[in-house]
Amino acid sequence: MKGWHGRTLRVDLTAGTTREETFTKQVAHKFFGARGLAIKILLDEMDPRADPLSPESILVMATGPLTATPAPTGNRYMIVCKSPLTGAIAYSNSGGVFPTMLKRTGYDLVAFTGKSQRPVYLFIDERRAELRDASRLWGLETQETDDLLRAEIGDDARVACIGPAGENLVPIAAIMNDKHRAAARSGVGAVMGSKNLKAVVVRGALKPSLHDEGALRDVVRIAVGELSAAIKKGHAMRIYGTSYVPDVTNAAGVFPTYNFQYGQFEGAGRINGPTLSEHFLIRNGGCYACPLACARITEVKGEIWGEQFAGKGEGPEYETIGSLGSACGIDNMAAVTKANYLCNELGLDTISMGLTVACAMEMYSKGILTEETIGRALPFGDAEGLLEVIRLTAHRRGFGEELAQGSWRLAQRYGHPEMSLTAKKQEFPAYDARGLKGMGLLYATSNKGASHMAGDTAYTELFGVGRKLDGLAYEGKAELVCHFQDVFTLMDSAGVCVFVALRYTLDTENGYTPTRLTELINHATGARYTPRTMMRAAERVYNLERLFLLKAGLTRADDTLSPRMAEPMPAGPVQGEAFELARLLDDYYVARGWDANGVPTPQKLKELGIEVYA
Amino acid sequence: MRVTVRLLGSYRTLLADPDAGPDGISLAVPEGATVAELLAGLPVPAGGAHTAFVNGRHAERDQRLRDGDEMSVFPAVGGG
Repeated sequence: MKGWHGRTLRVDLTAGTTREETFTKQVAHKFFGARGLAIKILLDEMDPRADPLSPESILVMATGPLTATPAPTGNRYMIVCKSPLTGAIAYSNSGGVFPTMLKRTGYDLVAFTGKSQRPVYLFIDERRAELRDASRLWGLETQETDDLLRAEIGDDARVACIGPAGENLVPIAAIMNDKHRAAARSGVGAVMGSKNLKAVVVRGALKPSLHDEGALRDVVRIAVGELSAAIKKGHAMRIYGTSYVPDVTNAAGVFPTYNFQYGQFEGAGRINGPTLSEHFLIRNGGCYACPLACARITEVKGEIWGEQFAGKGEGPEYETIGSLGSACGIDNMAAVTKANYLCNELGLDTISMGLTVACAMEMYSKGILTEETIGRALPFGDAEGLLEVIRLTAHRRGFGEELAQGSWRLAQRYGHPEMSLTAKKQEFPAYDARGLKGMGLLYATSNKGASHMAGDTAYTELFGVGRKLDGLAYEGKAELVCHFQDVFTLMDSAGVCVFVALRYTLDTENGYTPTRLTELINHATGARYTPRTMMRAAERVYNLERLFLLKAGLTRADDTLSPRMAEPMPAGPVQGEAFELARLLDDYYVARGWDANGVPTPQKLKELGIEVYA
Repeated sequence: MRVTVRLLGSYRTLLADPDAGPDGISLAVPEGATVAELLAGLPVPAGGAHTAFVNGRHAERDQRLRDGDEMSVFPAVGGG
């Protein structure tokens, strides 16, 4: 087999055993890539109604056919499981070095079932897999865990692990790899914790064999050549990483401010790229062999910024600046950076954590939550309060027990659902949907709940990559969102990073068509996809995930989002704009080939060749 | 008339004083000038893929500017 090894490692944590399983080329091409092969395992073997934190639930770590190949940014993997936060499917993406090394163990996927009696970690060394005792690691933060495991096994080993939040089954817990990279969203860390699985450690040099490496390298040369030319001219992502974005979203009035009550933040200029570069940046970092290197390796010096904010690590990224910063009314970059470090060390999703604290801050500012309930004052802008409640959340202590459930459950409990900025109970990324109608539809319909990584239409509606569409227009957005959801499914499934793949392997001028990406996949695997059949393969995966949601009990009623988005924006460039989901949802279902209840029609399933999963 | 210009993203580094970024620089422009005409006078790469906002809203190249307008320009990069 080319591109893939054709091997899945099956790990039964209840029995404490591992075994190898093979899959065929036909299966890999039909159930395409990381998300395709993973959702097939879940649909074939798991009851979608099962409790995601029960032994019955299955967690899959999946690489794609371009992972560990010379394809630019071919260094990603996916965590796929049922989410304890949303009750829907989780597909959380991460890069770094771990995903490449995972594939170099000789396995494309690792699927975990059951629950270990005691804490364990999985060690894979080139197709030799072993479950080892992790009792001494239980309770440790993620970076200590990573350090200890690599000290014991060797620097060439790579670690993905959970921190206290995952161990304590916090539904917004992340899985961290290479210390600073996060498969953050949808509570995948809690699923790992529920299995008593502390870490996965990988080592290997088994590269997948490629169908036509020469042809693949030719395409890579063109794509990377274009990127290098852009970097030479000054590339915002190289200069500032994603931290350049607050200036743009703030100018457009879609920067989440005071828990999405507003779209412009008076402190935006203090939590942006130039501030990060000037005061905190040590150097750029990057995932394995990345030609862009957008990560920020940073330090907050205690003697300058205060010992309470001192630390070293990576970030913050744009999403973290929006959630832990402006949404909480915090304009202190040292505090935002420290909050980011804490989330990474404790193993928490910065987006869901930030917006859950922002929800609590709004309730506190309106007298719904009191100092007595929280155990302290928690006004907007309270940086030290933010740090304290993050720690409480990971350990589920005091008021942290309520925050740990995410903003949706918190807001419900106190009778103010509008203060939870969520879709399918998952917190919004840092784009206000009132100014970007495609993003609103994306949040509402996404299989994984609100997420920019599920089909970021801001690329066209805000940033103007390729064709610039009017963010405020409704026309054409149903079709746009369908296409973006599918094309992001394709990038996830291939094992590449959106930041480079979207711009340099899609034809952004002509409908964001995966022209070069299809060539890369064909050269790696020997498949003969055309861009059209490639998109069809992605659509098949998206529909299989939708079927999982429906079988789990979700309905059209779940394709919605926070009621605050239906209220007009009170000020700024998009003043008076609301997001009217009703103007788009039916059209979206039609564009998908689903019925009025959001269920894929028998014809659609037949067309995709997946009618057996109906 | 006067228009405030803010260069964002990597274009901030093109300003003589990058700290002028957040609040912008005030420029005198002829009455009725368009977005394209103002862009031509800025130190941004000619023919580059820019996105321009006027008063926070996406602006086409032929949009005429008015006194007091705020224009933001950044390269079409995406991400976040």
